[in-house]
Amino acid sequence: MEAEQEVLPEALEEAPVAIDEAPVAVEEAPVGGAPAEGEEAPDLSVMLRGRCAIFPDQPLPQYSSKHAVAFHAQMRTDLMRPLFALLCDPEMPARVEFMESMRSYQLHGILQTADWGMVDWPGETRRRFVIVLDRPGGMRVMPSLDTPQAPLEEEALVTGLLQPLLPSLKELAGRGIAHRAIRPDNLYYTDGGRRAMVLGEGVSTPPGFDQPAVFETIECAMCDPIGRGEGSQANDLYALGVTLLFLLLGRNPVANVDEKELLANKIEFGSYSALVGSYRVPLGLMEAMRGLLSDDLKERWTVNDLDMWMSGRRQSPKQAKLPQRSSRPYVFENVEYSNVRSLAFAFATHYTEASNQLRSKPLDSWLRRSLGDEARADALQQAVSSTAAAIAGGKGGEDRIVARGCIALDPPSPIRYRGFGVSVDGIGWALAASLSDRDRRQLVSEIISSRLPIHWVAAQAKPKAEDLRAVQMLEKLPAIIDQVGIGYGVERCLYELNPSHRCLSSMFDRAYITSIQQVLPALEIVAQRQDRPDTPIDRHLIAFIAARAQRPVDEQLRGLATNDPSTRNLAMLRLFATIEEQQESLMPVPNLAKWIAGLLEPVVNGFHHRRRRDKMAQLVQATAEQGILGELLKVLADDKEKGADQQGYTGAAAEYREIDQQIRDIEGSYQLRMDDARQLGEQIAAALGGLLVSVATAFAVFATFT
Amino acid sequence: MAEMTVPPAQSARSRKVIGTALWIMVPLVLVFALPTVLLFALGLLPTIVAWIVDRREEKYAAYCVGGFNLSGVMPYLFLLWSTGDSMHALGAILTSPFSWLVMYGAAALGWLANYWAPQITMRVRRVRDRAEVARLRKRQEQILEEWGPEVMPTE
Repeated sequence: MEAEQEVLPEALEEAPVAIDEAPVAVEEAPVGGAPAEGEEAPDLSVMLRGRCAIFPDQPLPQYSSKHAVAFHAQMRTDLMRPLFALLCDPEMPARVEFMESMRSYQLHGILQTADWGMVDWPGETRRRFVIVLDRPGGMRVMPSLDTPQAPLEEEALVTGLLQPLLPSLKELAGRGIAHRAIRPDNLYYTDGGRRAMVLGEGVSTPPGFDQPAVFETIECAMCDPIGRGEGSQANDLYALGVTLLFLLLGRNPVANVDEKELLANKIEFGSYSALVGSYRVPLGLMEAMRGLLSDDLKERWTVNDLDMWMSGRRQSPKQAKLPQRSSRPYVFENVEYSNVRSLAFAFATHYTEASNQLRSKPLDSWLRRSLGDEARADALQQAVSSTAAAIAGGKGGEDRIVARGCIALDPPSPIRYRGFGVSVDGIGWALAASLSDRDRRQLVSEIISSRLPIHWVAAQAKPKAEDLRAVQMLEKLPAIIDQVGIGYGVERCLYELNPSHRCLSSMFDRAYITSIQQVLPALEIVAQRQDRPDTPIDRHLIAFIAARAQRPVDEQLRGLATNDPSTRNLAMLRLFATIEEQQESLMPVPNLAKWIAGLLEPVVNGFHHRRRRDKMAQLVQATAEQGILGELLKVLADDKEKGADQQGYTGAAAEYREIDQQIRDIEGSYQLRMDDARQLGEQIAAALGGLLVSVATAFAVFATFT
Repeated sequence: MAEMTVPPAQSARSRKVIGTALWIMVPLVLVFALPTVLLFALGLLPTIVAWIVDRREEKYAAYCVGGFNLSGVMPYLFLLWSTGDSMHALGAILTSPFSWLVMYGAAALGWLANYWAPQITMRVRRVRDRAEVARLRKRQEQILEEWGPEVMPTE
């Protein structure tokens, strides 16, 4: 049986630029993933946007990532181009924005992304996201981080890794984006000669998610992998420094050290010392390594510094700047801490015990006297007291005190709440990856609703520009996340924090909707399905629309929250009409219009006057067939007609009641009326008698005297 | 109220005046118009009976029967007066059965009129009321047809 081909409305093909140029559009793939007519691919292939064939029966494990499985892929228009496709983890959002921004650029030092989108995968009930990349010519440089191999020479690293990679890193830095997946097992040789290397993908999972903690800066290592955030070139260069060390040694230098201990060592002794230890780094690379592995963000090398170094300009290696040590240690959980950063890390890890410590006088004394840091002590006091006041007012629990306290003690570190660490720019990613994990979702929601990100930014000595921009967004999120109505809550926050995230509405399982322009065409397709849902809205769709709309839609959202189905459906139509107004090109959606018109039948039936109701029903039908939602709204939300109908109805009901009363009066006063009639009859009879007397008298006079 | 009620002294005086006038007038009438009085007395017996029988204050029956009765007596009254208002003429009238038929027959017609007039008016009123109710119910049906059963009161 031939798979059904869904016919795309023409406008979908001519959709706005964002759709046309994006590798994903509103089209829904044919059921079963059958190849298009004339396709040369074998029967088992899956087609991505009709351009690229992916072969589920031909896995390529040597190219798989930690959370994405690789398969053979082939471009229809270029069969000779070596490609592979990564089938992404459905729970992990991919870095679509990164791919979009680097779409038109050739980055020779990084594997090029060819295409991406949703496909029907055999054996799966829902569509899956795939990314197609250029296949490298050689194998992985270091197949496993746990398996030692022959060390690489300094020269090989400089010419084979740094030189090819540097232009790509410059390009990324220029665009303000970071790769966030630089590590030895994500490097490939470009050919069998094993000279030049190319960096693998960093887009199949959230930024930094696949990075072992050893490759992350102290701050990012404190985060949960899902909450490490976009980061910057500083993160990439740090990871590059660790990668160089791994390749120089041919092994993991801290393989026997667990993550927590490694982090504690990095804080205590600096990353360079903690990682390099007693190994003697070649002099030619020492300066670069120290510069790349500097824990001080201001001192850490930038791409320009690396470029200058590679051009031959040498500086003396900088010594690590270690955190200030106290004159006497602070004991917490039977462990002594001599610097505030380690102590804050311990508090964040043992958060249930930390709450009392943060309020305690000994800690305050330690900060002021042993550490000599009055400002930090004051900041801690202020943070703890204001949070305690909020808790007393019923807002949140002791965990907030620990989180605020840790921010005050160690401002550069990420937000740490109940053991969950997240950077400000990682909150969106954390939320996106937590949708199916109730506990983690709850954690992220509490972080947002307790305004911890805003407090974090306020605590920074010199907040970054992107953090200040994030504050504007973060200011409005607590109010949004605390509302449970449709269009608010976690779903809205997800789309507000992740501007490129696709809409997760269950109606769009077969489509990839990333912009509001695609919503109505997608709903038009859904409207034609046999198994369409009862209503064309759900929480995700409305939240998506609310986050992406050019104008506020709070009024429509209020309408959607009512219990009355007619009011709710009318609000839905208003919302869709608002989106329609914002379309770049107006595309009729007759099937969607008829669907909505069906739902709004109670509105038509709400007209009391039958002829008017019939006329309205005909008008609605005709307007729905035209497919313009704005026109349909005008017909159904005509207040003048409704007002006239209501007025007429009220008058008719009053008249009916009046008539009822009149009939009752007539029937109730029967006896009285009969008595009146009888009396009248008697009066008439009496009058007749009188009249007869006159006539008889006149007649008698006439007869007698003539 | 004080103006309407006649003080007891005044009312007694006026009754006395009327009584005195009657004592003077009645004998004079009896003396000078006895046949007329007798004709009235005998011819209007049905009226007197009707007056007594009709207990209602308005005395419609009495007026109706009286009017018919009187109209039956009138021709004979003028006949009597035209023939000298004598006892002989009176005798001629009273001995004719036809006279009694006319006088008392008219009274009987008066009784019939007094019975049937109210019946007719009551019937007319009944018919009109039914027509009005029918008209009102038809209007209600029109309203129901236009606006549906929702216009009906919930009780």
